[in-house]
Amino acid sequence: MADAVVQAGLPDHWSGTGVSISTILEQLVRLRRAFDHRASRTRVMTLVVVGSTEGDVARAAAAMHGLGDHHPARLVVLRPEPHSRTSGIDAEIQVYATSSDDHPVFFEQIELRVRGSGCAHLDSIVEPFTLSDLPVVVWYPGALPAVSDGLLPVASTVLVDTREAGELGTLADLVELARRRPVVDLSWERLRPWRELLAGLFEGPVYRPFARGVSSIDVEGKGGPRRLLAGWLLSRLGTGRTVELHDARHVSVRLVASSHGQEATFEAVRSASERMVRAGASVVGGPAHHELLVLPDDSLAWSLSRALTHLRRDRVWEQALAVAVGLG
Amino acid sequence: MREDEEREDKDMADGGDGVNPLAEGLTRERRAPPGVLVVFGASGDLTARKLMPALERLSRRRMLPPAFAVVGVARTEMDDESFRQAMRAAVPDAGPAWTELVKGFRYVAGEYAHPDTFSALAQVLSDLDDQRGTGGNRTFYLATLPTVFEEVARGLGAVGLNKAPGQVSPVRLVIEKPFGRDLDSARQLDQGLHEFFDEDQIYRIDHYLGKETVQNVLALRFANAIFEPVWNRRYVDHVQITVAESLGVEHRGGFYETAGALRDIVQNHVMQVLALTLMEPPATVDAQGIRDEKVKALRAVGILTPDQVLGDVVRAQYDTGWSEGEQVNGYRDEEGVDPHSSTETYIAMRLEVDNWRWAAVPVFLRTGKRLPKRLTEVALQFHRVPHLPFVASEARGLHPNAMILRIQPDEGISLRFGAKVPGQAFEVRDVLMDFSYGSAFLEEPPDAYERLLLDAMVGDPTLFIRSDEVDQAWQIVDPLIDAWASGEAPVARYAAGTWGPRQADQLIQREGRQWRTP
Repeated sequence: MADAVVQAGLPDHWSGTGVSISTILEQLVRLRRAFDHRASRTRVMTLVVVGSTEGDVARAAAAMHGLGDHHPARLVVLRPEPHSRTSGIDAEIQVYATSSDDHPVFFEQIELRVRGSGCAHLDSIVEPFTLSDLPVVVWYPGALPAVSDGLLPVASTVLVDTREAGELGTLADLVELARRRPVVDLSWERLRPWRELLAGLFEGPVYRPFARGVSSIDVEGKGGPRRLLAGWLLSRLGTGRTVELHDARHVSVRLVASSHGQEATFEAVRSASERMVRAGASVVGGPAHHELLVLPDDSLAWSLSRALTHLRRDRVWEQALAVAVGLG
Repeated sequence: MREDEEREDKDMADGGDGVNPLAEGLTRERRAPPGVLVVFGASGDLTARKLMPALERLSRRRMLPPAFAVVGVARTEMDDESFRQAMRAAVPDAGPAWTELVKGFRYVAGEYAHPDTFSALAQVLSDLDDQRGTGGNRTFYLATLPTVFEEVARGLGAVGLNKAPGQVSPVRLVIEKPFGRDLDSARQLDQGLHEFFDEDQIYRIDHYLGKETVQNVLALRFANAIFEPVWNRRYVDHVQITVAESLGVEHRGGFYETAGALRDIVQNHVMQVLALTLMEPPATVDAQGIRDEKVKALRAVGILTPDQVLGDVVRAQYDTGWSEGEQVNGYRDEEGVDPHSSTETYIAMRLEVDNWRWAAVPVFLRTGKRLPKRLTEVALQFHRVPHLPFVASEARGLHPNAMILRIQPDEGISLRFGAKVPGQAFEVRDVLMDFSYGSAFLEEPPDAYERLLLDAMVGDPTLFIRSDEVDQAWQIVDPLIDAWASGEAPVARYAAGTWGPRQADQLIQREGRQWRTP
């Protein structure tokens, strides 16, 4: 399988200040021609990263590079500076190859610092750099986009992280945005192991009937993920259950349910000191099962790679988010 | 009645197998249902080397349910705890989730011929249903010698374990190749198994089908409009399938003497790859759709007459030679091998396919040990262009187009075509357009055993071999066994580390073609 990111040769590089789009495109072609001829140009998307701070952009680009050769993409990094006193575009291009089974795979990063009036028309700046026939994923690290964001028309998918949502109002905006365009949430991907774990507790003829008889739901955790997880449980199991949300450092979930006169408890508790979750189901006077989940790496590269693998509208997330907003 | 109660009653009426509302949207990741995996031959090499690591990966990928247990059955005397220790040791780099899972493993010691073994197993399974909620769902995996397959099936049938309690949950029997030594013994084995298990309960494993890139042959052919139109006699000149191994027989000389390349590779792996390459598009990509078409493709393969076996098949053995920088023994000098052995370590053969799509397109197969590298590929060599409008000197480096499906290693697809060499002269040369499978997808493909084990537990037989496929593959291979038994066909020799004997080159060259050098 693929190696981790390995730089097959020195990155080829070009930068310019106050340059036109056509100059940047010419330089891009020149660099590609000069680069290692053996490198495969398999590419699966254009990823546009919109960052307001240097730190956000650096973190996002590092995460993308951290994916190695799994999502060979053209990476376009946008740094809008609308309040700059001058207008223009400063650009920097880097061309890399990573290695997959000793087979070099080529990718490129174009960083565009857009100063002044161009910031109002970022779509017109990005469009010339998008790859034909491939999805354009627009990612907003560190913030959630406004419904009216001018870059959204070029996006086939919008990548967000609801963990960044400070206020309920921004989540409500996201519900609206999701109606217009597929939105993929990194926080939702981070919760995937939890969702799989909780769903698994109800598998099989013995435990499944209890899913219809859940009477109370307790969710502990940090604000955003806690709310989203509770929203998911309610949207799947049906509203009208007792829901308790508690602030805690780590996520824990406990469900009490009954079926045909029997009561059962389903719970998943994150250990305080380790990245492990102990989960189990127990029917009073009946069978019980337990399991241990080792939580996967929670790096940005991991959640990003999962998100980029599932670039499609997710109705379950949309419904969970809508209910989460209503939880207050 | 409340809506919840109505749904609950429906779940019960369905055997409790209604929809899990929390699983919606997570269905892409398949998960085994609650149940028990019973491994016969649990103290053996296959269990420790393949099955437990595959189970551990399934556990790590969260594809096993919490209500899951493994019961090991074998002749070796040991208790539950010793078995658990052995299974923990089988996956030394496993994490705490595996340690937790292994705590629930059970073990039954006993002879497969003794009814007490199966009574004890029935009791353990019943206890697990009560304690863990495994719901009567059982998968019996026979990691044993093929000689005891029928004995185990009989033992299970005698205590009613061939059917689930109340006949609600599925019960499956998984067996590993070889499925017989020839057509007669394969049919006899089937008959023995079918006394106790229906065909849809039997899962015959050929781990080659579990390889992601073998399955990708289906995706390539039937998910793309551009390949299928040229996938026929009108455009394809011939097909080459190569299954090459760089290793010798290692420490399996004794086993290999009884099998040879024909039984070890051709009857199963090669026939499966051949069927996937030649088959017609199925109406649906499911177990019946795919397996029906594979059988039809194998039925169209011409059965060789004794004369054709002599003319169109080359069998050979490796001599001493150099492999991967080291001098290596010849086959007859290997441990456990008869110094006068005639067992083949290499086969090259020419087959014809008698159907509308492939008439007059020869298929050349070759497989061997101690070849220069380990690889499996299918190459479709296309016809030459009807007229080449260049002077000969301009197209010296040009060969007919070819599409190569690389199955292992470096999985991917290459397309060879001609392109103009930059410059003032009009010179045309071959170029290779290369797609590397691993470079476009994030997901680490599952190991073949991992995939097939999960499929068996989920109840998806698509990648398992049906009885009629096994039968048809033996019908193609049996004439070779018969002809070789008569001693008429010579055993050619090739130096280890080469692509086979010169007779194999002559086989393909007599029609003006040549083997690819992969």
